[in-house]
Amino acid sequence: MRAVMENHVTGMDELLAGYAAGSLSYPAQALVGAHLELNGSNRGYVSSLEALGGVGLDDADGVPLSSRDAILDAIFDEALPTATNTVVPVDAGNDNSPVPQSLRSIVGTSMDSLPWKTLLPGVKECKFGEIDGCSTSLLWVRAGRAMPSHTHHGTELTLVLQGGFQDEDDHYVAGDVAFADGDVDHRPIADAGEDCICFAVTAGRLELTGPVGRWFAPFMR
Amino acid sequence: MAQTQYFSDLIVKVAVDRDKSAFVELFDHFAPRLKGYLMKQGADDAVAEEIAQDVMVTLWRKADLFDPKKSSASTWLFRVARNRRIDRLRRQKTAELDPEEPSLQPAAPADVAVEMDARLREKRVRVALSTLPDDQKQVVEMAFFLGLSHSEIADRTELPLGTVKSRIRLAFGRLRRLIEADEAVDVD
Ligand SMILES: [Zn+2]
Ligand SMILES: [Zn+2]
Repeated sequence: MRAVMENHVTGMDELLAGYAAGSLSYPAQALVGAHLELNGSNRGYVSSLEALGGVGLDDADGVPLSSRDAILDAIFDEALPTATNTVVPVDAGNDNSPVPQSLRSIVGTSMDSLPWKTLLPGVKECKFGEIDGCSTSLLWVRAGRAMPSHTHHGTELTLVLQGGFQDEDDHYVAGDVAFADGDVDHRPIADAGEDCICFAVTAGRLELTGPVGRWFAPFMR
Repeated sequence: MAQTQYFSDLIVKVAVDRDKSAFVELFDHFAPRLKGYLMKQGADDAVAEEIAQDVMVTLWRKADLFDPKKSSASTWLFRVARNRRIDRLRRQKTAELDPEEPSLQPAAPADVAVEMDARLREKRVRVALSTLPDDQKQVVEMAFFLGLSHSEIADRTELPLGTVKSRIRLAFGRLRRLIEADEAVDVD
């Protein structure tokens, strides 16, 4: 019913389509949701793809429900458990690193209170484990610092939540999504001036290449 | 297209008047389609019926969150079904339910600039899909409507995986350009 992210992500437009269809891994779905919250440039395309889903629903062949009458009775009697949770008001509180709504089921509501682990001087990480086969984490890189050099098995998606960074290909700011896979030897550098916080989702293993890599490896797996 | 307006009006009646006969009409139109759509994506009969039920419960209880200017009934229900399906898979895996799960959150506030009449949007996306070359249309249907992975598509089409990947990438990029070119024409 759903595809593993590694099989599904090859570019932004396709990633957005996977989001609209609901076929991404859970953390990738959350990452794209947060991207849409932070950056408006892809919302129109996603709305159109959701309309495409609506068209698909319109055109679907109906399959009769085996318990139509019982379901209707239960709905009108309010006898069914609430399937959905009420909308939670956005409450950024006085946390100066607010977490986008879409990431809250993974990250929680405050970044300050997370169990950050220092990986290197100026580089902190908080791991949320493997979710749907994707390792999921937050990275906090002090302004002007470089991440350790590494390559990837599978696809790494990085959403900038605060600050910005530069890699071989491009410069990324809050709301941007960076793709890296396979052969990219990756050594992103955080912009000067502001600490950079990123939400990262990786399908497959990360392999570290730099001199720090050997030391770094046990943490990254 | 008149049908779009008709179903939107029914949802508004449910929201405003708790109109049961309007709801029954919506139920009889959409619940079987939701079930059929989910089964096409590989859900078994019982699961598909359960999610269709979930979606209709949501419609009954949260009809006031529906905004007919922003989406049609079918697009709104598609989104609710998608989110219910994701929540369900998530719950199965984690066993604990996060009270703050943003399932019903509007994905994001739409930009004024990208807000478009719901009917117009559906019409355009339909036209854009029909304009794709057949080989691209086929992979879009498999990836988007059936939710198949690249390797499953490769199996079904007997194409090499690399061809499938690049075709899908091309197809969604082209779909986007078709949709956005259409929008740009309107602005002038
Ligand atoms: Zn794909
Ligand atoms: Zn990387």
